[in-house]
Amino acid sequence: MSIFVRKIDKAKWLQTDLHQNIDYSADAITSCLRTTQNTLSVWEVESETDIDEAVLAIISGPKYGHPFETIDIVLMSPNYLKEQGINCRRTNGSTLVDDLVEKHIDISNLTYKSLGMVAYHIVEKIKDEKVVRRTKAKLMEILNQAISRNRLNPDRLTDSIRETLGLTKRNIDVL
Amino acid sequence: MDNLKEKENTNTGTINISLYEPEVFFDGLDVETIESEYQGFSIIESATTIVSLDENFVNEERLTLLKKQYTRELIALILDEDFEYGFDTKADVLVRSQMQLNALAVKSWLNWIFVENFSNIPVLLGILRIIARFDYREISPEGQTMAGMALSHENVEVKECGVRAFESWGTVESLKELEKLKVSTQWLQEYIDEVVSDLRKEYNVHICQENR
Repeated sequence: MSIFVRKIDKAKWLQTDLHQNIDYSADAITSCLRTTQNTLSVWEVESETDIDEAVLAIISGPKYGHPFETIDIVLMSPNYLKEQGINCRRTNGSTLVDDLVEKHIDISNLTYKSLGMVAYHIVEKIKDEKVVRRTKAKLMEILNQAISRNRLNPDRLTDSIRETLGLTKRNIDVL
Repeated sequence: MDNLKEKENTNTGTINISLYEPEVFFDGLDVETIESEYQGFSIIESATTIVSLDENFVNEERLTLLKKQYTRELIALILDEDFEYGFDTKADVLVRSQMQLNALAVKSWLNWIFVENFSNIPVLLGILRIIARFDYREISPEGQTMAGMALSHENVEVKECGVRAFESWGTVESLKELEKLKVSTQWLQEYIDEVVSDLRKEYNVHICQENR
């Protein structure tokens, strides 16, 4: 069964003790579940061993200017969303890695009630320790690997990202 | 004449502002305005490229300008914008543009806002996220001072942002700062330990078991 991966800010969710409280912080909802046209964006991977594929898709977004900032991702169950009648549809994702574009899912037609279900699901996943943190070193490794496997063209990255990765023009030519 | 100018530059503190592009250095003011409004400046040559100035005065003036004209704007941007790791904000853009004009004054300004708002968590988080995006040397030493203060803050999110800043700079100094840090929040300690481990690998630091 596949997994839906969404970037969150763990610190916002852990503002309250999730094991003691049945309620959670408004900051978590407003910062991590901000919808656009009643839609939330997630990336689909086949299994937990593939979650860095979703991380790669996230940090290689064309507008993602700071890909080395530590991120948290939550591993969501498509089954749970389906059982709740929440609509999920495949759409092209915004990533510079072409073979990941079609791995994008929109959780759509969200309402106050269904967004609450998504929030509840995320809290359950946090309690189950299905939140993974990727630090700067790991994010650099993920990007470097994608470049060395020709999945990501370094010319499409900004100068500052290439510089952080140690990719001079000469290094890129060698690749 | 060029030699004379150079001599003046080194011996009297005169600065050839043409090197700094006067319109940028003085934020759009022409020489006449500078002369009339800033008593610390005097034109020593009719050409509009050379002025004699007191560098302390310039920095103080810039700092005052930042405090008066930009503090409210920066805090409003920090509070109003939806921050998300990975994405630039208007607050980043504002601080970056001011850093290009006078980095010394901007660092003092940010430090001043940080201290003045030490109990205002959203503002602290905003400042820490901004400074973490600068290069270590660019934001030094005020950036490291602020991040260091964040590490001892009682709020967990502020602490985390301090750790994130040191992780982002990724220097040996960052490693030294984080190695000694112990917190009671388990997930944050795990993060600190992971960053320390990453940095030790990067700098090839081997720690004997008994020293851990």
